[in-house]
Amino acid sequence: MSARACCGNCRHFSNDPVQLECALPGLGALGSAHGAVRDQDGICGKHERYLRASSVCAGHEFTGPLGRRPRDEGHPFPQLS
Amino acid sequence: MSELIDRAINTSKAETARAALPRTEDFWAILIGLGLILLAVALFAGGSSLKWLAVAPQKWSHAPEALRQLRDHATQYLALWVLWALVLGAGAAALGYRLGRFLPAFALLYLASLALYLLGQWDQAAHYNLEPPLVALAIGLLISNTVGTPQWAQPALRVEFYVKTGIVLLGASLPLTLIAWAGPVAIVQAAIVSLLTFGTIYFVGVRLGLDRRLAATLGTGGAVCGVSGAIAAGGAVGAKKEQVSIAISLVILWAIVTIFVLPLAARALQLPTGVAGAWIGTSEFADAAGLAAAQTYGGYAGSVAGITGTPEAAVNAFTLMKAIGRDVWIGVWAFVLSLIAATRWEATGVQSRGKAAQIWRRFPKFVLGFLLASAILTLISHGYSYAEYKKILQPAVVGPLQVLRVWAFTFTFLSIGLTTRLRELLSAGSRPFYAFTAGVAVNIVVGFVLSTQVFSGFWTSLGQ
Repeated sequence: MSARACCGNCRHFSNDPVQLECALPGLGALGSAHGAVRDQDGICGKHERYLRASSVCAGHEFTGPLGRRPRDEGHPFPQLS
Repeated sequence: MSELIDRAINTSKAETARAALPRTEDFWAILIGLGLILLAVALFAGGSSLKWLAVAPQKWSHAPEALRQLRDHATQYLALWVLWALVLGAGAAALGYRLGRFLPAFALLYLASLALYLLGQWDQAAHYNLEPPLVALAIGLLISNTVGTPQWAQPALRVEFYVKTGIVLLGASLPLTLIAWAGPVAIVQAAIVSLLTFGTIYFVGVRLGLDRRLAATLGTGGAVCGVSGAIAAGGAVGAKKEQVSIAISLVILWAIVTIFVLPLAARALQLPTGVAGAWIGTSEFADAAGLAAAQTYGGYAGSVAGITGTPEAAVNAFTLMKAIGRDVWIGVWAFVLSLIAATRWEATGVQSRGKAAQIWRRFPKFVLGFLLASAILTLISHGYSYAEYKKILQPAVVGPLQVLRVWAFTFTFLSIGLTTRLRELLSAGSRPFYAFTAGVAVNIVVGFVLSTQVFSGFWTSLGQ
């Protein structure tokens, strides 16, 4: 059994709703990062893309399970912190 | 060791999938909306009513009258604040906001909403065009774009949370039979407009040299459900971060413009409230913005000469068109676009599989709450004649829920203005602006023709 690498467990990916609303100005004005339509999408700091958590790339770096990113590791892209 | 890590990942992913819903605004909107409806029904069954708690300002002519109202009902207003603070505070806490920060901010929002609600009940309000949704929006925009909305107030400005709660409560005043009757027409009308709008924005955008992912994100934002549509499509196709920002900016810019323009245009044309609501539902981009426009237009019924239909018809037609006709299809749009992006468009270095499961995962679940609310009230009112419904159920159950809905929408309208910073919306660039604007033009014209010509009789009868 091998782990399937995906954005959801990559250190470059962030899908924290509060941070997303800071990173995407206006998202909280007539929308929300807390809505069901967003699913688990987030921002990849490496590619600067807004991606599904199930996506993957060659630059994947495992950091931990989806939604369990250790806060003390520091944020991959400080502008969202 | 590797196996342990794998298990941890897979277990956590499964937990995340199960636990994701309670951390969404949709879940809390359903819980709060249906909870309040069940409370109203339970009180009614016990011989009581939610009426005392669901307090709202009444019509007034002179300031002392208004002040007397506030003084006489001060305890009720305080009790209502406690109720909202409890339920919305619980939701905000579950979404990750600190209750200690939410409550003071919400207290201010509640007081401002009370002032707006009171203003709307002034008998000269319509004469001076002081429609509460527009006033809320204008005041909010003024504060946000001049002195700036204080940072400490931000946790309570949850536009989508409030509008979804209000829409669930709205279900209580729409019989399920009406939704079943109007739903297919709303779906057909919305499908025509959505496809044409998306096609226009996408093809104009590509023609102007925009990246396909940006064109698709813009198109879905304009055609389906505004900011929610833009982020769903952006994630599905793997758009660049700045492309999603551009789409959000343009959606908000045009949504704010149409909040003011659509009701004024419909008023000039003296459209019946149901027809105007359907037009707004077809041509507005965001739920919250559209409800502001629809509620504004509903307020003209009875106060502006030549406008027929009930105030409720504008909001009802809007909601049917927007929620049933457009919002529920976002998962399908995202799925189709993710397939096309993965198989037809240039590679980005990121692989993304377009799974059909996202149709459900992205489904705007609050619409289910709206339908459930309708089903509950349809069931409760079964066996009552229309006269009995009007005499017994309306004042004891449906009326108080309508009052709570207006409160939720007032929180929404204030939050829109206070969270919209126009400076942030002006950096989209000219080509995305032209592409999106072409779609706006098609959307408004086709929406108008379908609402006022093709399905005019249908939407007019909704307001009878």
